[in-house]
Amino acid sequence: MINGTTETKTIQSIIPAVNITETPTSYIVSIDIPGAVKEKIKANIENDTLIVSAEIANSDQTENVESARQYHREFSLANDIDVHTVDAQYKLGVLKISLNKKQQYLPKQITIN
Amino acid sequence: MSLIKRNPAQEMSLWNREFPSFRGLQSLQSDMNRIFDEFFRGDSIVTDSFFNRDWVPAIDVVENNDNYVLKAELPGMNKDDVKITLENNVLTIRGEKKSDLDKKEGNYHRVERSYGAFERMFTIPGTVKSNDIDAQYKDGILTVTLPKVEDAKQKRIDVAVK
Repeated sequence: MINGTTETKTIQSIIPAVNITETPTSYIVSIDIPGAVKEKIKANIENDTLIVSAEIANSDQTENVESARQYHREFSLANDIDVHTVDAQYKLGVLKISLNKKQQYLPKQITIN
Repeated sequence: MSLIKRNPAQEMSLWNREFPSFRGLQSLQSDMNRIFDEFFRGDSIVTDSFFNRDWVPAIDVVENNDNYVLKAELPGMNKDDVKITLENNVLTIRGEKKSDLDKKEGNYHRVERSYGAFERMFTIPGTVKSNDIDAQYKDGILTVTLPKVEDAKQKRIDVAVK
C-alpha cells in the first residue's frame, strides 16, 4: 500500500444463547440474535444438522477499522424431525425456529373397541 | 484489556458443533473481560447494586461530537418492561424480562436465555439536553441517544500567540 493505510476487519465470534422446547408435535428452538437484519440471517439444514449464522456489522466505526459480530450455532437433528416443513420467525431480536415432527412420530389416540 | 485473545471464526465453528457446552466458557470469558474493563476504567459495574439483578445485559456506550449513544442488547423484551431514567447525570436502565418458561409450551431441553430483573447505571460525563433524550427498541436492541448541550461539544479555539 503506497498510502500506508490498511483496512482491517475484526470479527468477534459469538455463540448465541438458545432455548430448546419440545411439544407433542414439534421442537421449538429460540435463539438470541439481537440487532440482525432479517434477510441476512442464514439458516440451513445440511445432513441432519441445523446451522444458523448471522453477521452483524458494528455501526459505530472508527476510521479504518471495520468490525462485526459473527453469530454461529449448529444443532444435530434427530430422526423424528421433518426437515421439509420448518418455520422460522425473527421478532424482537429472537430467531424462533419450529421443527415439526414426522407424521409417524406424532402422538396417536388409540380407540378401544 | 482482554484476558484471552479471540479465536478466528473457523475454530469457533468446530468447537461449536463438537462441544456446545463451550458456550458457557465463552460467555464467562466475555463477562470477565467486561468486568475487568469496567473496573480499570473506574466505571459502574462494581459499584452497581448487586441485589437488583438476575442478569446483566451487554451495553455499548459510544460518544461522538453531538451525542452519547447507549446500545443495550435486550432480545425478546416487551418495550413496556424497560424503564430509563436520568438523574444527576446518572443514566439508569432497569427492567424485567418476563419469562415464558411457566407457560408450559412443552418440555425444556435447554434453557440458556436470560430472564428476570436487570439494572445498569452509567455516569454521563457531560451535560445533556434532558428533554431531547431519545430511546428506540428495534430487533432486540435498545438505543438511547443523549444529545449534548452546546457547551459540552468539543470546540476548537485558536489561541493567538503574542
